Amino acid sequence: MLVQEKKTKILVSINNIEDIAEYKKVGVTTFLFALKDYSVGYENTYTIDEINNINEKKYVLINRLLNTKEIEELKSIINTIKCDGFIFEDVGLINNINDTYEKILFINHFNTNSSTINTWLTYCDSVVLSSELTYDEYKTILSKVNKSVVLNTFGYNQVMYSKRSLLTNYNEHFNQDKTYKNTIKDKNSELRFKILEQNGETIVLSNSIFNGSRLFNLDNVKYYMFNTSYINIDDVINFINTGNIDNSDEGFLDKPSFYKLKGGNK
Amino acid sequence: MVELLSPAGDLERLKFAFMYGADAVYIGGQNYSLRANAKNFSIDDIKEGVTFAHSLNKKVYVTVNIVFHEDDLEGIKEYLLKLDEIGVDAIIVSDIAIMKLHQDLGLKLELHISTQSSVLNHEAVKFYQSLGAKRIVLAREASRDDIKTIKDETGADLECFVHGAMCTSTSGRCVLSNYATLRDSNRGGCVQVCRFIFDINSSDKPFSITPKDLNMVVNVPEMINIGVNSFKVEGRMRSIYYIATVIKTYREIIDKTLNNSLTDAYIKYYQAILNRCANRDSAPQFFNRKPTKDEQYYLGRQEESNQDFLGLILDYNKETKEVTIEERNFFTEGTVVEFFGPNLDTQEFTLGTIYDENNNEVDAARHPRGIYKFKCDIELTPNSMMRLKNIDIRDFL
Repeated sequence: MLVQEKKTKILVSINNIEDIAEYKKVGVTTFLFALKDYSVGYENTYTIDEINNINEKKYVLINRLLNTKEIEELKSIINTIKCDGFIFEDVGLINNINDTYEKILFINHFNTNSSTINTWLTYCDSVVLSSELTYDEYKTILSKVNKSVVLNTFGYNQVMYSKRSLLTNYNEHFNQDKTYKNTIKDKNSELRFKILEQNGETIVLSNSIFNGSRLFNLDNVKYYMFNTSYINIDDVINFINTGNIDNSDEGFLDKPSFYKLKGGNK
Repeated sequence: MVELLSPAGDLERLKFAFMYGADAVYIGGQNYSLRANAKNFSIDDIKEGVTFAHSLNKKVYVTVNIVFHEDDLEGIKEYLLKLDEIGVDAIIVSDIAIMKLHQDLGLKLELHISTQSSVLNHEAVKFYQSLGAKRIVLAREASRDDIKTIKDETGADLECFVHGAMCTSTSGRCVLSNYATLRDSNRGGCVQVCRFIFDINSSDKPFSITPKDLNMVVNVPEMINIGVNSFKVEGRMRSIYYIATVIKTYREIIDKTLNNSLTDAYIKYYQAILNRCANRDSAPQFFNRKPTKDEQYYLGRQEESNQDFLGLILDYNKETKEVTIEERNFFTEGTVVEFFGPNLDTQEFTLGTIYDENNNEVDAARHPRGIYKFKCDIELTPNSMMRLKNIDIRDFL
């Protein structure tokens, strides 16, 4: 059973506004809203007006990489959003978000060592660590970083982000009906992923839900981030209460990655 | 300044890249680089490469572009100081910890920001400039408008890929390989899962996300016009024939653009040359518009054969007009060939009698890396190449 102190550090993404009340019942008090047109891979997105009308502790997610036109558009509106802070991917936003907001940098798959993180922490209030680290790597990093950081703790992890419309292109090539959310399986193995297309961009997600409940043991954590997209709220609540969820695994917590083939692991 | 930047997987490729017209090369050391399983350069190789490059007034950039885990940082400070001492002209970096080290160590070599950082806008460029970055390698998803705006707003040195393999994903934002095999794509272990074939739902149509290669031949003049400084060819693991062909082609395109002699006929000719030396179809990808299904592969690939490379010229005797060649693919008397090379206009020739290295007449050159000889009136230079004649500029005039 997760203690209340830890529950207040859960940053949960919201799929439906009505879910907020359910989360508050179990002690969750901080919420994440994916910003419409500027986020990708999340089940639901919200306009500025919708976000501004929510009177809770909240952060706004901006996880798309922005071209020159998009960043200019966003610059003109971002500081009108009423929230506690932003969780963002594009470093171009660092100097364009007012200092009255918390800035949490989320460069997906980067932020894998304490030196890098501490450098980013001179520009931002916190960073989201990579999801491809082992438990021991998290422990080491957390013991060395200068400020508390954010850990992806629950949800389908983002595995690939493409600016191509991969599902649209496939369906057009084969003259098939368009579908924007699917499961793909490697022809030669049991390797599976979820794939979805939003606003012309493609996200591949892990096929299993990441169960990072072991990460609750770690200190120096600002938030345990939950991506609840495509997961039933009852299952999310059950996970908060018990640490269990079906169709899940522990990701890379006990699986170190390597990159050189000669001389064994490294 | 307009620079043609070539990949070089080893010293031999480095020398060929410069011989065939590159202004600079980018290489990887034996650690810290995103082609972890290529041969790569030892410190001594880097020294030799830099000495060779600087003797020609050209440049060498070293990739230090992995996403570092905690243990990977061991030795990095000493490595960077060594590169600086050797006289490497720049490091190409994606991890901010290395950018900070560059500042803290007061390195003379330049800091270039890798395409792994996926920079697509001017604000990101300004941020990296504030860290001391001299050049930004833009994301391959940058459109014409993006490149122009970035240049206008920042004045930064911009490097853009113009040719070679593409990732399906935005660079650095893909760990498919990690999930499939535990091989870390962001530290050089990528197994290219994007080139696998998948089943999707219950469809009988296999699902593919394989992209075609990048080819910016038709866009080079406009890219020069909007201020791109460096034109980068992908392919540190490519052959010397590929490097020679692609670099010489882009050298001619750039030079003809700068002296206003590039014609539509030559653009088509160069496209045909490049298509024949590659093993994948190619397209301009994101420059003009977002890629559609036409920029991807599905099934039924029919690439051209790349067995055109017949041999490497080792020597030419001006008195006897005898060519000594190292065979790379089969040829016989009567084969119609082309020679191309450093300071050599592409020229056609029909082969006469062929001899082995002991001057015995042979019916064909059939042994890979075998040494053969024949007579030729064209004055060839060592390190020129011989290929099958397939394409003629006159077909495009």
